[in-house]
Amino acid sequence: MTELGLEGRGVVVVGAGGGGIGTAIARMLAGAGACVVAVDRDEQALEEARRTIEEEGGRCILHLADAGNPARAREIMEAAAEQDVPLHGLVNVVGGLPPDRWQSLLDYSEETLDVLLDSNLKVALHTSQAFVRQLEARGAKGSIVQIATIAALQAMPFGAGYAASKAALLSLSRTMALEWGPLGIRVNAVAPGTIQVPHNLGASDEEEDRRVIPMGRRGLPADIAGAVLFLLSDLASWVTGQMLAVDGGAGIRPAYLDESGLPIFVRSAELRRRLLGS
Amino acid sequence: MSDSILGLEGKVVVVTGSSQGVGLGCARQFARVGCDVVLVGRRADPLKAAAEELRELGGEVLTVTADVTRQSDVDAMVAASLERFGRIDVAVNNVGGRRGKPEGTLMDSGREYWEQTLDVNLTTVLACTQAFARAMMDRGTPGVIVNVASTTAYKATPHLAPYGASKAGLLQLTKTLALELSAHGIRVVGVSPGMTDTDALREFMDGSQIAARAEQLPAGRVGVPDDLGRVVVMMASELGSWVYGSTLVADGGELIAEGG
Repeated sequence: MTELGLEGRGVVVVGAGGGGIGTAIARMLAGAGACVVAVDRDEQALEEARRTIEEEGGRCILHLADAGNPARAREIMEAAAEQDVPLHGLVNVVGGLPPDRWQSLLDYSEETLDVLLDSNLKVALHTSQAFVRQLEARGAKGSIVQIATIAALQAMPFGAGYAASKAALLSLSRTMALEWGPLGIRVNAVAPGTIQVPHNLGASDEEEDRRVIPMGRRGLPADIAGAVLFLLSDLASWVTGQMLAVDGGAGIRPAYLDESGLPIFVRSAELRRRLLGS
Repeated sequence: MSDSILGLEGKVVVVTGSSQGVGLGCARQFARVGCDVVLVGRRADPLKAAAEELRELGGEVLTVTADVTRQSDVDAMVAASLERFGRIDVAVNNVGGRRGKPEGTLMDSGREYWEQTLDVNLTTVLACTQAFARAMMDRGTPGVIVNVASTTAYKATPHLAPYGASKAGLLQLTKTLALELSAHGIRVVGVSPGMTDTDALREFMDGSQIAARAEQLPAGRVGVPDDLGRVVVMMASELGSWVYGSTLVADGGELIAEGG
């Protein structure tokens, strides 16, 4: 595990409960020897994350708080910096798109846009500011990873506010990387594709997943955690201001492929037979 | 995941253009995490020196003297790797750069220079990838192919336009290769280095010019080959197992500071 250099370093995971991406990141970090500060506003979800981490022999500290409140964000980072290990990393696994916020653009409400910008964008600003203040006061270097979505790179019908808020998060991360680079703080983003998590809108349709995701399945939370650990680690010491799509290839698959994986404009029966080998 | 977080111990890694520069940085970092490495380059002497350095890190090292712009050399490189190690787990298409002398602006750029540059940066990568992927498919061993692009792919590159255009083409090639090869269990990804202190850079910038450039960069320095080697290792490792077709920029912030 020494390859990553995360042993004995403090990493704050905001949104660590719930058994999804945040929990997977906290688990993998603990497995790599990091001291995880697990933050969530749901006490039960946080306890479950702790149980999983400790069962696997990892170490973590819980912080029950709503990081969307700037004062709470400051408290979280003050407490994290006062641990007996040097504070190194911050991962924002915040926001998302609750089912009741799916809306068509013509009916889109200002309130929905505000809610999504608060949860997906502003939280990340508050926690990142508070984190950097602590590092700056100690003259310490560090690494921030924001969890975005590949939807930020495309159109997202019925989820315009969510996709726009995550696109704004990508922009925010680039400016953070530039402004905080001189402090030795790197800022990057991971853009997951569809991930199988407990709070998904419905069960995974395996046949549909095989059709639209080149790797033939939905991603797992651990798939995202791997990329996050890399960006936090010293392996990525030359990477800043970047977004890494972690999606099993969903983002590179063009929409104009048919069920057999050929472009729909390939109509010649002879050519189709040759390309498909049948 | 295997017993380590990177899961690369004992893997066989071929790196083209690895006697020096970014390729050697990649090979060194793979050797550090327990891989056996095939070094490929045009000249035997620097390859030998690189191999001696890498053997001290513990893994097996094979050197192959080859000019991979020639198909016969590509085939020989893959055959030699398979003969020695029996399989290829990771291939890094690092070879590339300029061929011949830059001819000034695009208006002055001749067809020969343009074609040579596209050949080494794009056509050669396709030929190598075909050979690597066939070796992986024939043996039924899933593998990873990492293409080394460049930040010149994202911005205007006066006096280096053929190079920038060829690397931009490589980003696109990486995506389609990833899509087509995913069905065979082969993952294709890319890494785009920013300005990196190598012999190739020093052919057209001297030390004081590089230092002046470094002052303009967010990190206050240009990259070194090992900066890129670490990123390539991650993209090839278990940590990158859900990354397909993406190319990660590793440039110490150069691109976000200066835009595309």
